[in-house]
Amino acid sequence: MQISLKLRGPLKKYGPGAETFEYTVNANSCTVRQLIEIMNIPPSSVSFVTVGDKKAGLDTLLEGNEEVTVYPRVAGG
Amino acid sequence: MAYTGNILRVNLSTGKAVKEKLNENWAKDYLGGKGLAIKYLYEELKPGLDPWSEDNKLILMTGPLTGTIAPNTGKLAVAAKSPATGTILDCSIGGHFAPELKYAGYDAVIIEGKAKVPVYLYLEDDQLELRSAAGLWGKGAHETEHSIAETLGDVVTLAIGQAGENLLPFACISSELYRQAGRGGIGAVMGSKNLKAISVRGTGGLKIPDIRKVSMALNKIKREDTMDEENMWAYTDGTPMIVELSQTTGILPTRNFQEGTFEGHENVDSEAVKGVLRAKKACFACPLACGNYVEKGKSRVEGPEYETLALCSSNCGIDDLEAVIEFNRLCDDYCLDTISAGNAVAFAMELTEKGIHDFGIRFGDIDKYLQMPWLISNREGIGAELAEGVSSMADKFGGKDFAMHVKKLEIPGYEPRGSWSMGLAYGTSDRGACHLRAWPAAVEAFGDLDPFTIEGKAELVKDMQDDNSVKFSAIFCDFWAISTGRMAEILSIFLEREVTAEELTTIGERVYNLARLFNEREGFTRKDDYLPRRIYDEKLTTGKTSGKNLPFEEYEKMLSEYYALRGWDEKGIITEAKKKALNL
Amino acid sequence: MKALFFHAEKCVGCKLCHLACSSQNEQVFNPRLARLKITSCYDRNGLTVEGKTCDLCMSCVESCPVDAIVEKNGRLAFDEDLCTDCGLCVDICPHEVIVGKDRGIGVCVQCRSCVNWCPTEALTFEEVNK
Repeated sequence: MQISLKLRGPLKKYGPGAETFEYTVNANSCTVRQLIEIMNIPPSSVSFVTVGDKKAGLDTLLEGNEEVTVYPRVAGG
Repeated sequence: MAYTGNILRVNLSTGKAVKEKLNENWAKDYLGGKGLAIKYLYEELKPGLDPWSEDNKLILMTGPLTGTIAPNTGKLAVAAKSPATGTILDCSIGGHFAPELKYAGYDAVIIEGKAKVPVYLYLEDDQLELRSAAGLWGKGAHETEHSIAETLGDVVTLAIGQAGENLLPFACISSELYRQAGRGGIGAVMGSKNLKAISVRGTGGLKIPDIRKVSMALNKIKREDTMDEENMWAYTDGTPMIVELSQTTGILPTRNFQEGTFEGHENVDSEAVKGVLRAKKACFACPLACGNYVEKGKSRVEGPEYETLALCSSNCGIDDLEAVIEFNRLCDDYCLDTISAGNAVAFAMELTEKGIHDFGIRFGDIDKYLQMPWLISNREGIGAELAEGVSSMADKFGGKDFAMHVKKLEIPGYEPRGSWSMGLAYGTSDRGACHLRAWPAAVEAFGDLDPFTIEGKAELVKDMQDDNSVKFSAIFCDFWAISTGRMAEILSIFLEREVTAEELTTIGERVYNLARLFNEREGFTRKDDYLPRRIYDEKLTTGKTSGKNLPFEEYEKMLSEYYALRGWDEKGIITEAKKKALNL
Repeated sequence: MKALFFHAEKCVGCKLCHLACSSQNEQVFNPRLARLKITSCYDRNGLTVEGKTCDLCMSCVESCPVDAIVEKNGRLAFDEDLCTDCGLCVDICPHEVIVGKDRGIGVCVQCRSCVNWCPTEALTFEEVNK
């Protein structure tokens, strides 16, 4: 399945270079947690994931064609 | 040598200055920065003092690591009794002032009294001059800084603009144009002393044993910890990234906190800011460089930061980035705190739209919006009313339930109905509604915790307040998510004694309680720890927070639980046992 | 021969390079004693970033009347015993990166502490004739 993936800020380095890209997962579905694992992103570096414009949990199921954005940790404010 | 051991005490009434020894016992108990500044104020200010009187004191306090190569330690605490709230007030400002003061040979400057005519201070090492500010009075902070630099060369300056001169309760202090000690009217304290600016040049240095070895060890820490992925959002994006997080979680204050999502968010988010980015900019000794120097059209600013985007963009219904950048620049120049200014403008917009009082300004009205910084700073037209802040506006015109403040300090950019822990953080912050005493939204609304429950929130807020208190006292920038263990490791090197994480946590708790004790002495109790009724009574209607409020009974329970954890009684008064335990 | 290069577009103005240099070479944290000059500040025209580093132009070596500064294997070396504190090198350095001290002077000895500390690779160490 294909996912439109966006890796924000310092997480960009886990992608092909561009912040936004199409990513093919060799499965019919996977969870957000699995996707992060496949991308080799340390879970501790992730604060926040959105699917579409909604906040997602690590167990949110992806079935293809979603827009997924992965945010780094932030501090302060 | 971590401390210089010297404090400069300047009395503007007499024009005399004395160099005195830093109180070493206090430095041990409170470290520096926030904690040590509050300790001096607690000991030296008479209870019930009128913050506008010349007996109020302005303290500039560095930290023990300031001026060294330890990363992210170059900020300055600026403290006084707040003219906005009547509480203790400490602000944190970046840039390069604090290390320069240290190189001049001082840990702190305490400014007392009031000059007869406008002056500015020029400090170079052991030489202090009170210079006439006659030609600078009435000018913005930007012109003031440029003009002083043309006279004095490479000094670093703290300056106030028209808002500080005109004694606005939300006047800030600017340095290097775009860095601010922002909240609670700290700039008005300078104004009330007829003090336009403070410029410093320090030519000395700081020595420590094994300096080469220490530098090498710190470079490793800088590379592996400070510049870890966890903190690099500051460099890649900076605080504008939070717009996306707040929008998604429904806590982006919109149209005076009537909603938690903003339809125009994409025009003012991090992507939009990056589109006009010209350069990244850091404070002294900071490898993270959160500053975004932007240019759009004729306007330029280092910013806008998240707080400005939330309060002056979505909260005013403005989705034009160029307008927000210009508003930001004007606020920095005249020295208006953008959090309070954005709130005041938004409150006037809602009062107008609701027909309660016609200020002639409505949500999204860019032309009128851009006139506001000048009118407010100079108390002209409707600016004369907005200049008093939302609490005073509500007293005069109504709308008390949606005058968004706690203890008369306007609320920052996180909607408490979608982050219940932020509600408690605002209610129990030592200087009124503030997001820097604790920022639990990070692990709650933006993290894994349920934002719509009070469970575990009291403890979360208390722990964060204690951690941040020691962080702002040792002076590490908020944007390095440093552990107390790491703080202890670095402090041990420079203080040349064993500092433990436990000791630091206790110092944090002591600092927070001393701030509370200061406020207690001024008559603050539980009754002052509440949020505006809107948060309890009105449900939001859009996005992830649709249908959500923070029910009053839930807030009450959370507050009581928090007091119990703190060792405070039901009225929020610190128990004798707690005072004793903390050596207060 | 290799020397320091400064890339203004990457500099964030943190001064860590100055602190690295002064702590390594003068055993003190004092940005004014650094053997390079990097400034990033706002003036009336906006943000101005400027960097001055030793590029081994050899003006100091040529001007020193007592050969207290010499070039060895592509690096400068300073001999305090020979120095007469005449100050000629400090005045003649086109980049103003020689530090005048109470006794002797400080020249860039290519220790590269500044390069190692720079968080944004705004300072690099490269071949001069590249």
